[in-house]
Amino acid sequence: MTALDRVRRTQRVLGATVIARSLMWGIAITSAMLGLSSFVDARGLSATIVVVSVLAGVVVAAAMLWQSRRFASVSRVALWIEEHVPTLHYSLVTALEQGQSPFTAGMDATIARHDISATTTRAVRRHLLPATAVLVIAVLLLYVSPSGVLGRSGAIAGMGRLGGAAGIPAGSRLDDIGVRITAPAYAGGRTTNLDDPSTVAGLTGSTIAIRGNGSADGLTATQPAPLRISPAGRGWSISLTMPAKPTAITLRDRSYERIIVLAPVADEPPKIALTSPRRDTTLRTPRLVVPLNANVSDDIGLTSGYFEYLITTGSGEIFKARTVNTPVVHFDGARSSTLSATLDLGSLKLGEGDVLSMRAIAQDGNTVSGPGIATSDTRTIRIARAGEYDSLAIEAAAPLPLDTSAVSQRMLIAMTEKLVAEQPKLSREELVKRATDIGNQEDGIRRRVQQILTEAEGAGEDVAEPKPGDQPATVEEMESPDVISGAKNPDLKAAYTALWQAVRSLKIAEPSPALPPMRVALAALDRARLANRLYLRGAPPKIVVNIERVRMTGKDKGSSSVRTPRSFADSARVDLSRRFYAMVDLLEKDPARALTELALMRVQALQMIPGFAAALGEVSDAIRAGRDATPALLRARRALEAPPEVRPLSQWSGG
Amino acid sequence: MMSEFVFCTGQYDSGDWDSAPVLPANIIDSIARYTSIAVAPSGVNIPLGSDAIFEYPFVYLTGHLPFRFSEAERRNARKLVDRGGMLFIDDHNHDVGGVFHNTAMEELTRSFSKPVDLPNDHDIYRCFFKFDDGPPTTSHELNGWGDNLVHKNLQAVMQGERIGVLYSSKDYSSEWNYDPDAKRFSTVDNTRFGVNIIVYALTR
Repeated sequence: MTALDRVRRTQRVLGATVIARSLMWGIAITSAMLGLSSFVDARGLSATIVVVSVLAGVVVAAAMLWQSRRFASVSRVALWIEEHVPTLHYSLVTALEQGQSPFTAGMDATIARHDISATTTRAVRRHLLPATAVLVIAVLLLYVSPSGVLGRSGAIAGMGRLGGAAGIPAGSRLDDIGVRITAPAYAGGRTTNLDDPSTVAGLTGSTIAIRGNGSADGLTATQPAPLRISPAGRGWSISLTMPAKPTAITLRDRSYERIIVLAPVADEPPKIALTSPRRDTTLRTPRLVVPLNANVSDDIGLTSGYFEYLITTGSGEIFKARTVNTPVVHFDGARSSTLSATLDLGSLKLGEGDVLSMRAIAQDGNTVSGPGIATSDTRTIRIARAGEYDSLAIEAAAPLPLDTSAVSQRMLIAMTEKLVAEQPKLSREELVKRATDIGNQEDGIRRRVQQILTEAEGAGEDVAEPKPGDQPATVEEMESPDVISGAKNPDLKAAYTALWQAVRSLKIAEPSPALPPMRVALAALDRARLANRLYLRGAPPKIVVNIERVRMTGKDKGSSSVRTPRSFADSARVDLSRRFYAMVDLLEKDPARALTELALMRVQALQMIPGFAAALGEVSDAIRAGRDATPALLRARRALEAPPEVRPLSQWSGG
Repeated sequence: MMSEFVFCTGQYDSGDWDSAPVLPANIIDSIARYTSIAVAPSGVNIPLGSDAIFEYPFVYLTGHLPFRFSEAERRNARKLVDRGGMLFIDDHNHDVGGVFHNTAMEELTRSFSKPVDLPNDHDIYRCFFKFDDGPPTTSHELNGWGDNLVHKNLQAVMQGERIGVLYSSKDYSSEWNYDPDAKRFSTVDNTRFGVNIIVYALTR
């Protein structure tokens, strides 16, 4: 082997060493930068950081190569050997320069006696060992970084994306996911698509499909039970149904984690309001046609509705009840409608003391958790007993529009006056009809007066109390005032006589002559009413109000022990408050954990404090988008803590 | 020195002035419950014709029967109102055609002037509790007895800008004539308007 061969061999070894060392340093620099960056921002490596890291590695590697460019020259390599093997005494350089010299053989022999390979190996080891150590440390740093870039190929994936490599993303496969929500069939099956959401809101029972990029291998999803992840084209997908209660799906891709909050929207049951009759009432006779009306609405759609009557008969402890339903009305998915029916009390054969309860019922088309059924308030119509007319205690109740049984003498006078005023414009038929109607009602009062009079005379058994369905008496059938004795109550007798005259005039359609006796009857009835009342005068009861007790100031004598305020009763809110402030502290130190905690808090808050949950969602969105989350955090705090209580000073407090 | 408020029921010779004997205790309870007005624990019954009536700035009158003042009662009623007092007269019949209403209207017209409808945005409906629709309806107005009417307004004899005589056809005497202990069964205390009347009488 000539001297030139030895130098060329050394040059090849040194060249390879230089290239290897440069690459190792470049990779180490890139790895170290990626690792450190992931420590700083655990949300993941941005493309910028990846680019900068790679460029830094390339620059370092290139610089080292440039620095070792001398090994490209054979003479420089020979000088390097002479430098490391001083005992050659420049025989190698001389042999190369004086290749035609007769002393070349001697110089080759001298060179052959030196072990240049061993020297070269030591030099290679000296250069490569530090580079190898640095590379190992940098790779370890990358491996243990929060985002686990190396082992999970995150950084490499980033680089792959930069290089335009299509296919399986080497980074987190939990980014850029899409969610498709399909409402239940009964709600129209409408589909909604969400891009990269942190919260998925939809009707309970909706079908949710979550799709992401990359292979499904190694991905896990829990809710908290494990969910099946299926390959879908070049990505993966999860299919599930929106649960009834808020929950969170935890997706994991190697060390990546992502939480998606499921916020179910419950299908509200229908709302129904009975608009007619508006109030409970008590009738003296069950002769009334009651219009039934109800307004119905639903957030999704109504299917059907009907009215239900419950008729209770009996007294004391013995009651019988029967239920009657009106025909079902179908709404065909309308979101609002009205329910109407007419109830003729006469057809129900109600008796004294019977109670009729009525309500409206509607249902929606919820086939997932329903159907939602709504019932209106119940209205009650009670038929009074004869003996309780003077002692009925009735809550405020407006007479029904057709409740003619309660029309007073004063009202009949007003109706007659109106009829007289309109008489010139009325046809004969209309006049007869309206006058006869008033006359029939006046006749009812006449018969009641007659009953009272005959009872007072001890002949009550001869006159029957008007019964439901009784036909009004004709003029010929009316008992003449001459046969009614008024010895014990002359006022009532005068009223009866006047009523008799008024009824007679009204039933022959002569309202004008009926008015004077009607007024006389009213005055006589007033006199009789007052005359029958007894007011026993005496000292009224003296009631002393315990002012101290009313003002809750009387019994408290003070306490010997110091009172300490009790803990906040709303422990769940307190717990959320504690977690909220801990999460705020975490935002600076560990944003990834803070985001996870945010999602978990939202799940808990969705049912308890919806406003707080919504504000947490804004916080989460702001952080993910890199915006300032402070306003959203303030809103969340306000929603979590009760609003300040404003207590104006009483004008009596002197303030 | 400010003395405590004493609820005064006025006795008049005609009619049944004591037809709502529990009402004073109920209103006293409400005043104690809602306000910091110093209030006597029980009311008094004072003949309207006696000079003792002038010790009370608020006098309540009610009844079912014909309402007539004697000369002394009429004189004292005028003097009481002139001095800044207030009469509250309630028709226990809730009947605008009834004998109490007719005679009371005649008597008030004779003693003062014809009562006028009090607007439903008057200060008396806002001076403590707020009643946006004017006088609260009573359960006795539409139950088939009395005049079967809901009375939209109270009536008043005005003394300048102030109410001198407040007249009601709404039968608060029946509405509020129950033991105050029974209030705990009510969702809404129906005597709150009584507090307004007292607060108005004492502050205007």
